[in-house]
Amino acid sequence: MNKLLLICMCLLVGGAIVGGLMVIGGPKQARLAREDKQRISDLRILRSHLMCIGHPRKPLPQTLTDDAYCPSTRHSLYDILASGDPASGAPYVYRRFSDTAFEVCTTLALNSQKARKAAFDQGNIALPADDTLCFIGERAVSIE
Amino acid sequence: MAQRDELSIFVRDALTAGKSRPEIAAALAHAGWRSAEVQDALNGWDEMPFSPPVPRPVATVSARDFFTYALTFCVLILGAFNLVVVLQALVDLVFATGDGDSDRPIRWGVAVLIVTAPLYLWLTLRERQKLARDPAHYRSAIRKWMIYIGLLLAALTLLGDAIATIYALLTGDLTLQFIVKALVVLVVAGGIFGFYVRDLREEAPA
Repeated sequence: MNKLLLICMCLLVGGAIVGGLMVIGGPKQARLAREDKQRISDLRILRSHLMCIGHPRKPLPQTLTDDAYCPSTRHSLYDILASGDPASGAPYVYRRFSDTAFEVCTTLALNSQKARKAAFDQGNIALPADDTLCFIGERAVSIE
Repeated sequence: MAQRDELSIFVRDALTAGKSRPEIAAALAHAGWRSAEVQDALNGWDEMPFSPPVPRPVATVSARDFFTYALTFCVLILGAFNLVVVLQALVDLVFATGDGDSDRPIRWGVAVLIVTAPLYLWLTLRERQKLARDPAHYRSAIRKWMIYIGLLLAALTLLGDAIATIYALLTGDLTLQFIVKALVVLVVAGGIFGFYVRDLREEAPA
């Protein structure tokens, strides 16, 4: 009986290991997930910079490299602008719709819907395509 | 080896002098010894009439046993905790409530299980072979202590599981997901408890 119990526990542990590995995938999957996490974190910082909350209002910049826009949060962008996408190194896509509306986008390696679900600020995220995730923003204030 | 305390030496000397066990017990009771202490001291010597009295084997304590059993039980506790973590995270995913960070506990738990499960199995099977070869190892005091500590932790876990389930019932949070997660704890802790209880029952009398 004790032997049977030991075998059952071994099967349970084996099942947990196999099930866990099936869910989390291999090392490549982990690396891709880490890169996606970095992309989302970068976009969140870019959006925060573009919203420039609590500072004198200006029209949105034409490019992300505009040093005159929101200097108080500019320092947080240096690494992101310098290194770009964690895998390809390409700059993140910034689209300026008007003086107040914008989106910053990236292409994810893994499931963008899952990434959006995991984000604490889902309301700021749009998914224009299966592999594309954008942080959107609208500065609902008058421009100086 | 018999304990060489005063009581044990007195019993040995009295048996050597030809005194009967009831006489020795009466003398010790008169001196103020408790009956359990008297019984323990008398049980330290075999009842077969032989001179000098033959000591019965007593529990042994060795640093080697401590290393083996402490390692076995640390590995067991670490593995059991992470087994529950992995299984509960998988349950969350099945019920589609797992957040994006559920990968991290699963990844860590699987890493722990890959190391601890074979190590625990090897240590346990090695111990079984040792006990089968020489049943005197059943008398290891460290082994008994570690088993009882393991049983205590498993029992406390089962108690906590039962309390959490009843609390969830009373607060209206007893979902199917919660029940399955509570069952995971019950199966793991109950399995460990059952395994070692049977182990104690099946072992040769010390």
